[in-house]
Formats: sequence, structure tokens, C-alpha cells
Amino acid sequence: MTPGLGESMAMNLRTTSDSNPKELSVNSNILFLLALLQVFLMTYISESINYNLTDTFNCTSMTPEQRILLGADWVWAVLEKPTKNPRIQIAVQVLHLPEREAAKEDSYSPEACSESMHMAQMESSHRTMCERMVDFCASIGKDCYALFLFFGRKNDKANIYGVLSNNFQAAIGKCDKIDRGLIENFFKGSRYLHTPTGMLRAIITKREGEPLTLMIKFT
Amino acid sequence: MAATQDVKGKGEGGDQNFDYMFKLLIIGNSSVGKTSFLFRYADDAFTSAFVSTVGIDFKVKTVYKNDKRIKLQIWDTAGQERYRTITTAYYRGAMGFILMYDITNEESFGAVQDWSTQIKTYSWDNAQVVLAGNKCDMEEERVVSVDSGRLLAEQLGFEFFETSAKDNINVKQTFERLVDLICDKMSESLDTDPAVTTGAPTAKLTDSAPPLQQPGCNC
Repeated sequence: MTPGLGESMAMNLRTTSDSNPKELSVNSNILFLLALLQVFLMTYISESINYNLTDTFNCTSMTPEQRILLGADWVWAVLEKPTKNPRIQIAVQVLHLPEREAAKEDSYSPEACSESMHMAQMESSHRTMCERMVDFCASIGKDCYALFLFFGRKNDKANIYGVLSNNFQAAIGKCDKIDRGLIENFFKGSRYLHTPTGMLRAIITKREGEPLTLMIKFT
Repeated sequence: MAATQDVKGKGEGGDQNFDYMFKLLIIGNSSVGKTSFLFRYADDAFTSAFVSTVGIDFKVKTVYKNDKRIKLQIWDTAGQERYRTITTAYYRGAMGFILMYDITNEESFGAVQDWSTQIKTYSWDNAQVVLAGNKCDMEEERVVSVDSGRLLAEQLGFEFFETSAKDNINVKQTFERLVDLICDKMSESLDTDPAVTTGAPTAKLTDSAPPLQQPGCNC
């Protein structure tokens, strides 16, 4: 795992120490979000060690700049032996409930931004965060999936849901833009929610080059 | 984002107080030490833990030359083939490249010619290149001689250094030499093409490398 997440947390902790009350509230939300990511990653690390998966499966946390440029919070990879090159990748972007998402957006306000993060934003400002991740995955190919994780949905705030696809780019040109609304719409037409295990099985057994789109519920 | 220079006082956020901005890229095969090289230069840090770069990332460092403040935007590219579409997209507008191989890895040296072709294909004609044979601290495992590296650099028209991010050998010098080469080329372009100073588009300086706004480069 790269030190990106730790760096990001440290940066926000530093910001908290000299902030006004409004900023303190925003920063506590950011810390909450980062803590959730940290919990997820720590769980992943301990599980992958438990199951001896470190040579076949890895997870890279993006640096703050990469999060802005590529739109991904972290990237899972199934590795090829013996090269350890990725065979399958899943780029993950976490979408929070709208009220928390506002706090996440605030974390990129000019005051909280490092110079390089500001440059990264300038580089990518013409596309939404969702579009950046879809473009990133499309640039790699059909063996790279975009997974949008919803940490809570309107009617179920306690669970985590996801939409995974290697074909989101098909929406480009058909829709105004790829954003949270468009991603959430996938649930409307879906009757079946995969488990995380089912999702991985579907990815691994899929024929090369085929499109795949799934909705997942993480309980 | 504008690739180059003299945007003093323009834009929002970040530190705009600089005279020139140079966009540099570090390229080369996977695991030759590109990220370590950048970490050593930008943060004076080194870790032997290997984390393969996902896609692209960058750091910013400011240097001074003849009383001019030069901001270096240094892009760290993933060496793996699967990221080639996204990494080559960032070649556009780059003023300098550090093309890196690993002196303990013959394959990475053999790939230098291909990387050089990539520069010619995706970058502009005036981009400057330094060839860096990294990991020169690992003398016992050396498979590429200094002479082979120097000869290839001569054939390709590049400057050459053997470097070690681990032992901090020639890291700063490599970047300083690249900055010197870029400054020399800028001055040369100004001498031979006065249209550059007025910002008029020319065959030499296209939109991929915005023209100078000052009447000369004294850096």
C-alpha cells in the first residue's frame, strides 16, 4: 500500500489544529470518511495475510494527487504469476451520502489543498470525478473495472452498495455526463444484487473482452 | 494546465510566485526506480519497499537558477505496458524527460530505444532527454556497463548519468542538468526565432509547449 492515505490523514489533521469552528466540523467529517477508508484497508490487509493472498491480490491506495487525476480512491489488482503484473484491476471510488459527500468536496477547497493537489485539479477540472475514473479504466481496457461504492443509500444508510462495470464509457456521448445520479440509476433497473464473492466470481469467469456490469450489496 | 512558463500572478490557489514552470516526465520500464528517484529528489526520502505505480502521479519542486524561480512539475509514470495509453497522454507539453533503466536489468536497458521512440512520437521536437542508469549502488549485480550506457546515450543524443536513489548519487545532478538543457534550448529558440517572444505560433513551439512571454530566458 502506498503512503497516500496516511499522508492525506496527516494533512487533514494538521489543518484541523488551526481551523475555525466551521472548518472543524468539515474536518471531523473528513476524518470520519478517512477513518472508514482506513478501516476498510486495514481489514483488507489482515484478510489478505490470513488467506495468504499477498502474492496474488493487492490493493494500492492512491495519493491525494492520483485521487484527483484518476478519480480512484484505491485500486485492487489480481496479479499474474510470476510477473506480479496486474491481470485484473478494480478501481474504486467511494461515494458517500450527499451530506457527507459535501464534506468530501470541501476537503478539496483551496485552503485545504496543497499546491500539487491544486495543480491536479486544474489538470482534470473539465471532467467529473466519476468520469475521470471511467476514463482511467477505459484507457487500460476491459480487464479494468470501475467500482463505485456507496457508503449508505437514501433508503438504507447502514449498508454499502456498489456498481461495477468495465463498460461505463458506453454512457459517454449518450448522457450529458457521468455522475453520481447516473451511477445510482443502475439500481433502478436491477432486481439482483451480487454478493462481493459473487462479484469476484463473475469477474474471474467472464470471457476476455466482454462487457460486464453488476450491482453489489456489501453486508 | 499550461505546460510551461511565466504564469506569475495568474490563476487561483497554489503558489503562483514563480518565473517558469517546467513539465518533466520520468519514464522507463517497471521497477527501474522511477518513483524512488522522484521521492529522493523531492522529499529526500528512500524506502526499499516496492509499490508499483498505478497510472500516473506527480510532485512539485521549486529550484532557483540565476535568480529565477523555476517550478518543476515532475510526473512519475507507471512503467507497465497496460498504462501506456494514459502515460503517453501526459507526454504532451513535457519539456524534459528522464529516461531511466536499471543497471542490474538488461531488459530495461534494451527497452531504452523503444522509450526514446515513444518520446519522439508523443512529445514535441525540442523536449530534452537525460538517460539515467539507476541502482548504481548495486555494483555486484551490474549487468549493464557504464560504457554501454554512455555509448547508447551518445547514439540517441541524450546526456547520461548513472544514479542511485538509494545512496543519493547523481539524483540532484540529473535534474539540474535537465533544467540546464531546457534553459539552453529555450534561449536558443529565442535567438533563432524572434516570433517566440511575441507568443506567435511557430513550427518550433506549438501549442503543446506554450511560447515564452518574456523576451529572453535568463535562467
